[in-house]
Amino acid sequence: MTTRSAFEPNAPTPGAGASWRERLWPRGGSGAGENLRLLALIILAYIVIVTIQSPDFLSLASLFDLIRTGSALTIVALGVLVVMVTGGIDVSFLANAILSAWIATALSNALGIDSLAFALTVAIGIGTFVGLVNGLIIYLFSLPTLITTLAMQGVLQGVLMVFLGARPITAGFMPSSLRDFGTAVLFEIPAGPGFTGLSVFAIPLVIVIALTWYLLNRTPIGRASYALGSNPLGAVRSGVEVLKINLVVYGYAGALAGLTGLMMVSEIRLVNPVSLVGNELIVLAAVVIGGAKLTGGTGSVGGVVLGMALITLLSNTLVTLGLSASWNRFFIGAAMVAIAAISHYRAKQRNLKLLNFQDV
Amino acid sequence: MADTTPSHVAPPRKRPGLQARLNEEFLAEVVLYGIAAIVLALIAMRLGGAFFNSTNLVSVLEQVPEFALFSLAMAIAMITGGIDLSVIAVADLSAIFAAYIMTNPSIVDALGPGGAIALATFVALGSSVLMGLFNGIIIARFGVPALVTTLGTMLLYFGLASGLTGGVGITGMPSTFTDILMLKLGPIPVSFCALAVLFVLASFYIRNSLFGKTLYLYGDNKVAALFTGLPINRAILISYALSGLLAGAAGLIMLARFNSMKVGFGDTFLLQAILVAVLAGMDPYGGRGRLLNVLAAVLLLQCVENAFTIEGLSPYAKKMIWGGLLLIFMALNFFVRRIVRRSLTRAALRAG
Repeated sequence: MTTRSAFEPNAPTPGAGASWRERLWPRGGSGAGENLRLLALIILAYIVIVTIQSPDFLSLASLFDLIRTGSALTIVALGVLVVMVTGGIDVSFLANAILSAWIATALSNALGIDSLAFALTVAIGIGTFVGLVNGLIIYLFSLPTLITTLAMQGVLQGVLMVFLGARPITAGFMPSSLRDFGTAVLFEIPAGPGFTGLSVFAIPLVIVIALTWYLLNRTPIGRASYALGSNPLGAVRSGVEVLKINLVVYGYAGALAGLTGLMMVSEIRLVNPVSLVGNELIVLAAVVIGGAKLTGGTGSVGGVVLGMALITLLSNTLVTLGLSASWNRFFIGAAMVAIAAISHYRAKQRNLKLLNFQDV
Repeated sequence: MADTTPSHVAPPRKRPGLQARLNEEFLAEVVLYGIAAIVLALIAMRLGGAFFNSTNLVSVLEQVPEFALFSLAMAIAMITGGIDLSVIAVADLSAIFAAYIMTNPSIVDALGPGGAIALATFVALGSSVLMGLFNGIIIARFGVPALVTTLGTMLLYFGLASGLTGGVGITGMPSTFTDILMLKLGPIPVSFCALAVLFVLASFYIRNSLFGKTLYLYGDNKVAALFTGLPINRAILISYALSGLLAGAAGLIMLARFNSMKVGFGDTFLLQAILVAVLAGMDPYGGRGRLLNVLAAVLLLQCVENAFTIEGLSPYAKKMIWGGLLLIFMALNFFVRRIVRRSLTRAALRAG
């Protein structure tokens, strides 16, 4: 007789029981929207706190700064998101990024080609290749993705240092097109004593955000990825080709890693083979803070962008709050653990209500 | 009487030894010890007496303890189908606590050097248990996958350590503390003897106690474990607390070895600890593997590491080789498991 049972957790809560808490914070839904709301609230609160401390903070210049410093890692984080949606993880992306960028720069120098398009093609091409290898190995031997990509990280770094004999490439030896790419701005606005411009990095950022959103939400591959992540066996039974999905998601993550690598070296004007690697955790934290679960099947582009915004905000503004930058990782870790705990706990309770013991 | 047995119930096994002989753990052991024999033979051929002399072999045993403790911590987490990526961070942070206590003049004055060392050891081990327990709570109570939890707490503990120290190292431990590693029992370092005893006890306990069996069952089939009514959450909590304790002990040994502590010490152990656990036949998906083999795998890898050092390989070359080996071992184990599963199915078909 009752219209709402324990088996319909998404059914609307009866209006009579709607407390102020329910109205402000509606229950139910997939949990993804909930997470985004929580994250947006945290970011807003943080911005308010920082603005109280230093009133100059709330400006277009700060936003531009955020975009310039956060865009490269946001792009690679979107690649990781696509992998995580399928229930996998990739930790080789920064090793891949620096390898691709180093080869692209070295090849440009060796051939005397001073063209951004050429460097981009090489970097993205090598990144994609490494990604495809990851996807293929994981599929062929049905290996845990973390351990495989962790091993791949070691291999990539080793290849760069041992076989390519990589030395840092300094600004003077970088193709001028790459150097210009890092400092180019779309337009400038007056800020403080000088000018602040919107970095040209906004263009790849917007393109990749749109592309990733389209891939995940509007293509059969995207649907299959979510299906594979939320119920692997069911997805395989309903005809999802795991190899194809693996190749697409790891290849895509690799391509974005190549792009990120080139952006980062053109920004800091130095290709140092030992840099970058070690910051993987920050990127993974952004994806998890954005609501993606390692068990797969969840995660959104908006979440990753917000997650990376929070992390970039933290790293740019901790000093204004009077804390040394050494505390950066502590807060990122705390945010990651807290948000993962909240979202998984709610999912766990939902699942127990449904007598679904998938992730107990 | 015979007809009352439902057809879906398997008849009693006629050849009871089959499964025991052909199980995956046994084959993983064959792979491990086969590789060990090949590798040691290769080292003997290439380096000969430069490697196989008593000084070098004792130095292998001396270098093993912290590496072995990290691997044991990782292996225990792997039995449950989890992973503990925070071990290095736990070791660093708890060792930093210990270093603060031992180098603080007012504490040393009040308690004397011996008392300060005892207090530092207690605080380091206690804090590492708490850190492990925190991992366990997030994993067991909140249902967050071990990978995400320990990635997050790794950031958290590293962040706390670098926030507290400002990224600066702490040096100058009392010599009584650093001398612990020098103790020897005949030619063999005391630290290694203690380690061997620990491994034997841990291996025996985890194979035979209800606690250990719960961990194996949980790793093999979470849903089935849930329906047995065993206190699973408590077992997971304890296992991560144990893993934290082992990491804390490893941190103290690192502190004694380097006579200083800084955030990020021992980073390279993470990949190696995973490699050792996989090589020892611990299934990353959980439920399989013997802890005693972890010690054998640690010894094997330390031998290889020493051989690399004698050959003069760069750290990146080593990292590449570790990564490559990890991929190869996992592929090998995959084939071994496939062969075992197929032959078991065939045996079952013949029997039924």
